[in-house]
Amino acid sequence: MWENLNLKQIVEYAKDPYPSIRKWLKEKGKKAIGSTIADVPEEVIYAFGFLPVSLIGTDKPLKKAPSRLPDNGCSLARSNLELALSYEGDLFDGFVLPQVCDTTQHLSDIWRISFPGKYVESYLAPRQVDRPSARYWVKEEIERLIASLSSWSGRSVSDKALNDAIAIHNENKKILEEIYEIKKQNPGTMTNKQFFSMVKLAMQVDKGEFNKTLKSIKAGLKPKKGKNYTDVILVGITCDPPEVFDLFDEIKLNIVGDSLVTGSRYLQSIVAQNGNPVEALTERHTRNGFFSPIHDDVYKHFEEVKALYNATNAKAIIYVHIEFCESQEYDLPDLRRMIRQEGIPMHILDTEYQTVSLSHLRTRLQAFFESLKGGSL
Amino acid sequence: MITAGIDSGAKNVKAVIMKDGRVVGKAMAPAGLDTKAAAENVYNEALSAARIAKKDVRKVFITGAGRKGCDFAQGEVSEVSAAAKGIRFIMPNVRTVIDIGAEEGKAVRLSQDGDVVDYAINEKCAAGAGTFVEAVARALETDVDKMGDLYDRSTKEIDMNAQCAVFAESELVSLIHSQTAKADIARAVLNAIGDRVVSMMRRVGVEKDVAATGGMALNRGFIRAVEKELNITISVPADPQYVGAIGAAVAAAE
Repeated sequence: MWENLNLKQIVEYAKDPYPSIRKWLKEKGKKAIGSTIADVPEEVIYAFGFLPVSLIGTDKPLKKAPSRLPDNGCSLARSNLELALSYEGDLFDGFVLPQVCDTTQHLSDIWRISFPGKYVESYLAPRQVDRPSARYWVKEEIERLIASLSSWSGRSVSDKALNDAIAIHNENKKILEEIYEIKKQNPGTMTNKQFFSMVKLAMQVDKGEFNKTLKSIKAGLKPKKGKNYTDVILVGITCDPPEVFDLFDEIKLNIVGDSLVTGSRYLQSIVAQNGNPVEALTERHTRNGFFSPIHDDVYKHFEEVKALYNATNAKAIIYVHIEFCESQEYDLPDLRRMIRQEGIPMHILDTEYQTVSLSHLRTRLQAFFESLKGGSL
Repeated sequence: MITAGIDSGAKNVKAVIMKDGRVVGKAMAPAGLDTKAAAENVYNEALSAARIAKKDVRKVFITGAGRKGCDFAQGEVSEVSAAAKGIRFIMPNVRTVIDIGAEEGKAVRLSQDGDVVDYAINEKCAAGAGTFVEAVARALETDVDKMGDLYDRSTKEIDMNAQCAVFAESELVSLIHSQTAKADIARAVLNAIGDRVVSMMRRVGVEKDVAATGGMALNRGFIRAVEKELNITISVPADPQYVGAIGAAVAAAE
């Protein structure tokens, strides 16, 4: 199903992966477990023989989610709930839902009530990972998830199965990272939309199969420098709808770094292959950077963004703001102020999963880059 | 050198022809449903007015909400840059420009050299745009051009609290039902629109000289509301609706 895709197909599948997932599950006789971003160790779900699917919203209309999450709730959280409630819920046998921000705090309860016949588990990993107790907590949470999946499915999972799953996921991220490097240096090789569709699809389909596609694409790449590209970094959580990348491609932006969960934060979440999978998954959680500085050092995020901007020699930062994302809205005023003080050009792109017209985003983005080329901002 | 600028706005399409740094022809028509045809028509009209043949125009640039639908232009420029370039061309001392059209309002701050320093756009809320004034004029059974006169005749200041055009219309109906004078309602509405624009101006920072462009610049009640709130004087160029098109023509010349 996902073994031999070309770039065009990848973009199409990433836009709507669910028909192919539904078909694949039927053919393989497998079950799918959905999880919202960003903490859930998908390797554990994979090791049990289930298909882990990252839920990354839908651009289809909201019909049922507003009855459970208010209009001023995070667009991604509402969109994910709608995806399962109205459109693709039948595809999933269960959900594992992390708690990564205020909105997702015990959001799993709403899912549990909404899907009474399905397996619904929460995954409560700590945000303050510098504390000595954090490691102990993460390890216990991974072990609790394993026990919960085992109890629900009647299956057990061996260290070998976990290590095999880790190896397949690591390979996936490694190849994507290598393709990203080629694209950064040679922006004419593929569009931003093609690359980030590749990452998104990787988070939703069988890695074993998709790795074959990625290897074939990487082998067939003909690096092209291209002309008149402006290097930028993307800061945010997700960047949707995918047509936003069309705007970037239209004005010839080359994304040379990012902090997206559907980008570098996924690629960099490689797990050490040291024989003790639970310890290695624990280590990965404590090592990963976190997007929101809530309950953490407010300067940490700024320092990370600044370091990425400097390391990549980017010309500007594009901050992708998800409408009503509490974490971002908490963080953004400080971040914007500090970035402005540094004299770094930054454009804030307001996105919403149910966006139907991008013309306003185009105008704002175009105005920003016209000004940048004019020497101000 | 001869260039042309087209501003394909939400309600009207405007075109100007510039020759050696002077506007020599202009035309305006409703955008309608076929914005491409409307753009071509106003371009041809502007050429006729300028008595210039199409083949003599070196470049055509387009701006405005409908700019993507027009394939005969050789380049495009955002509405922000068009407003900045247009006002800079007409009034070189302007450092802050507010451009309020039918569906969109923006505030742009310029550097001494005319570069855009910062900008804010309000395109999601009708309460800060010209269409709202038209809706109110209809509700008050008056002509949109007379809203400014009504503002001048008002003797009582009424606060309009709604920050949304839809809710503001409900408030308006209540005011009509309570026999509030038409002039006072017109003033309340123009003050409310002015408040939306002032908040955008405060976001980008206000530096003198300040100018207003777009169709709403013709509404002196609105201009007074903003002037009063910020205690400033706002200059309005002749034909303020054409400033975006002029900016596009300037961009084409560059």
